[in-house]
Amino acid sequence: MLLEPAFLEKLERLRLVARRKTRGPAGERRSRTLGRGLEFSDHRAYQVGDDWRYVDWNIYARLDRLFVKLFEEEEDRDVHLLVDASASMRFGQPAKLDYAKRLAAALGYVALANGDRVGAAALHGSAVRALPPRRGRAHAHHLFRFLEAEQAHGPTELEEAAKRFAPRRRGLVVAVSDLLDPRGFQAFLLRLRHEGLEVFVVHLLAEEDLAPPVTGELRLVDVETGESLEVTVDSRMVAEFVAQRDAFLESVRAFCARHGMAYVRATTALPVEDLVLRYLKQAGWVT
Amino acid sequence: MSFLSPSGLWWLTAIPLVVLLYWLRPRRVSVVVPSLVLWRRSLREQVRQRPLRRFERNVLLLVQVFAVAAAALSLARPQRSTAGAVDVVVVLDVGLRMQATDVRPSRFEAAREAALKLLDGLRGVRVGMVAAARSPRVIQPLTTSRSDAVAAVRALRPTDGPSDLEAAVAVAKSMSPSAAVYVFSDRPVSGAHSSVFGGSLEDVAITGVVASPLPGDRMRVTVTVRNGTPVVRWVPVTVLVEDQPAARLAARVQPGQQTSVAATVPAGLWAEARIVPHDALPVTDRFVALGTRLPRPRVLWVGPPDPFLEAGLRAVAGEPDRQETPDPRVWGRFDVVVVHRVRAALPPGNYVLVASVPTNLPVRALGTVREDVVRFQSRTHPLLRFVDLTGSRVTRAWPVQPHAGEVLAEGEAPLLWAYEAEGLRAVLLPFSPSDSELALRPEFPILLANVVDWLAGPTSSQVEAGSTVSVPAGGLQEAVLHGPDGSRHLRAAAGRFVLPAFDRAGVYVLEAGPARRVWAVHPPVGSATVASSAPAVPPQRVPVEDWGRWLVGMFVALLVAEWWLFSGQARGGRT
Repeated sequence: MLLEPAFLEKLERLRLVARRKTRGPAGERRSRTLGRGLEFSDHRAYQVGDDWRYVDWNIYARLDRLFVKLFEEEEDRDVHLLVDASASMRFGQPAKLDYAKRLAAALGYVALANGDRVGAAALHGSAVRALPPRRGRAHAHHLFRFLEAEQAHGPTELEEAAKRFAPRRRGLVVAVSDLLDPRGFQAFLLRLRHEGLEVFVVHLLAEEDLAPPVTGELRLVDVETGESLEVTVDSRMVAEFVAQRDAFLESVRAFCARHGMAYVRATTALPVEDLVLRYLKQAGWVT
Repeated sequence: MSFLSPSGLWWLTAIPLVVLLYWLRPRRVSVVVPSLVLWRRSLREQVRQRPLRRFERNVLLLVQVFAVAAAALSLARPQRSTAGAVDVVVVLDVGLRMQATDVRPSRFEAAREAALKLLDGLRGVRVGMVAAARSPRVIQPLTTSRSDAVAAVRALRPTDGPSDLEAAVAVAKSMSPSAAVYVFSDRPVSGAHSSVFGGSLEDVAITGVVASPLPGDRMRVTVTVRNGTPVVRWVPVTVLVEDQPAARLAARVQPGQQTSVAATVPAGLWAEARIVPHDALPVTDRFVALGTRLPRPRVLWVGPPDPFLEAGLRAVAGEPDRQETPDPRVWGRFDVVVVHRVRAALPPGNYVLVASVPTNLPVRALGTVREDVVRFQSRTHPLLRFVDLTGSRVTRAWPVQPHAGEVLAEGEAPLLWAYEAEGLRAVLLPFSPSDSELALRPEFPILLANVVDWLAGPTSSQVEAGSTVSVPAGGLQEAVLHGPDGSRHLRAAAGRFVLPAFDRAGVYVLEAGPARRVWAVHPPVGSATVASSAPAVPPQRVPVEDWGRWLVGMFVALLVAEWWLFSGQARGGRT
């Protein structure tokens, strides 16, 4: 069970907030646009080209001026949950992958509860294991099973994975990853953005990513590639590592800000419930 | 540079062990990390900022190696002489005064111990040893073998003779111009590092014994005693003749004065005086002098008699033995052989050739000359000491033409010729004394005495301790020397017996064939006066720069550096 019932109950009261309008087909998400909706929202003055069917003739009769009625249009949005399932995601307490699965499940549940189509994809190197987008609360069960089945393995090749992840419809993508790709994270995020997706980045880190695990004469082995690196981890090396880490984190944040991507950094030490119910709310991801 | 404890250098073998342990140390701990991205960046940045970073581990090893090397070198106690001298020459006084016991156990023993301590502190420099005796003796040429030098010092014994420190220092400096000379004596000497042992010495000594003949086969022995103490001393004196007590005397000696007492005793070969003052220098309490019954050289007369020459020889050497028929086989056993009008080949020995030209000497007769006069003579040769032959007339002579040797007197032809070769000495008179007025001149007995002395050497002498003598061997090859230290067999070398130095006072008798020679050896007169006015100077050591302390400091510094480097990593571990 990825999410506890009490947590699910809290999630049902939330909505994912899109930062820009989705140009998808009409759906359950309301959009304050002219026509096609069922629920009246407001009036505005008639403009050339407006559909005559939305002219409010009663107001014309009283005021002798043309107004059209506005309805809240139901948007039909795809929410894509991209979970980095490379071997590096098995680190952390709890493991970053487990954390990412719960976070993706929570956000997916929020989206499903609000009528969005929710799909998921697990990235194992350049390979992508995907769950096609579906709508409806019943799809939550499939989503949870899909996520639960994921195991961390393979290298991190985010850009290649992004190329293979080709959504048929535009929408919103939540990428949960540690972004520790030797080839860089920028191409990956830009690729998602070029797909026309609104990108939400959850930069998930474990304690092992933030500080050296031990010191001394070490041979560091990359869990994904098996490559090793001999280093003497002393105070100077630790300081240099911290400096490089901070520079890396700042570069990710600045990149996302520069390209209009929502960015949240989290560590596995923070409970998923707190992240979703508190910090994502504060960040405006959910309301 | 030298090492006081070279065995400490064995610890240098620990360096390979350190390197081995370094390579055998536990390998690096493998740690699996999510990604090497940040690590690579960190490492690259550190190497860029601190290029020596990659060598820090090797620096740690180097520090360990240097620390071990410093420890090993400090254990070896390296040092370097700061005196600027590459060589050290030790001069040890072996003179009479060094036997004084005012310094326990004696001045000499104390000085020798100090010299050994000095040698013990020397490594890597050449060491020479000179014994300051009556004449300097190089007992150890410059050597790097400390054990040889130590053995040479240990073998030294003090002598009863004087010491010439200045000459010894000169000899020491001649061994090596850059040598540092260290003198161990009872008085300081300029031009060297002096260590003085002993202070003022109060001594009562016999400073002279003289025996003079008396009628009736007796002799008068006069003993002179000097009082080096500040009080009047009554000194009992015992006189011995050839080791037999002959008289007892007593001398009252004022402070700083000397007094003579005499006794009439039977004649003997030597006389000895003894006192027992119980002072610090016992060796001056005994004095040996020649007596009046002295041995004479043994002379053999070969050939027809000559009354003038025989009378002269009888006065000088007593009645000669005679050999009517020449038998050269026994000539070498006599001190002097007079060959008169005999033409023969001479075996090794000492010869007076009178009107005889031997067949095996580098001289030949040229005929006969009449009425010759000595016009020229040598003024330096010992044969003509106190003798003036110029103007002496010779009515008939057999002139000779020498090819070697030395013509000592000549007129128209050589009239006195001396020749010396290995094992053979000869004096040639190419005329018969009866054919000249030489035998009538007062110098004739002196000339004969000089001839006998030059040929045979003195048969008895009174010499100062420390003297060295050699005597003609004649035809003999072996002799036995009896002395205070026992008997020694001597072999002739280059026709002479070279006697060892008379280091002990007493009587020495050389027995060579039937002949005997006697030396009465006494301590140096005046040595008992004694006193070293200079204050005792503590023994010195060779000034050296001890590098051991610096190396210990370096070792500690390296340990601190090692700790600092290591703790730098440890600090990283606590971060």
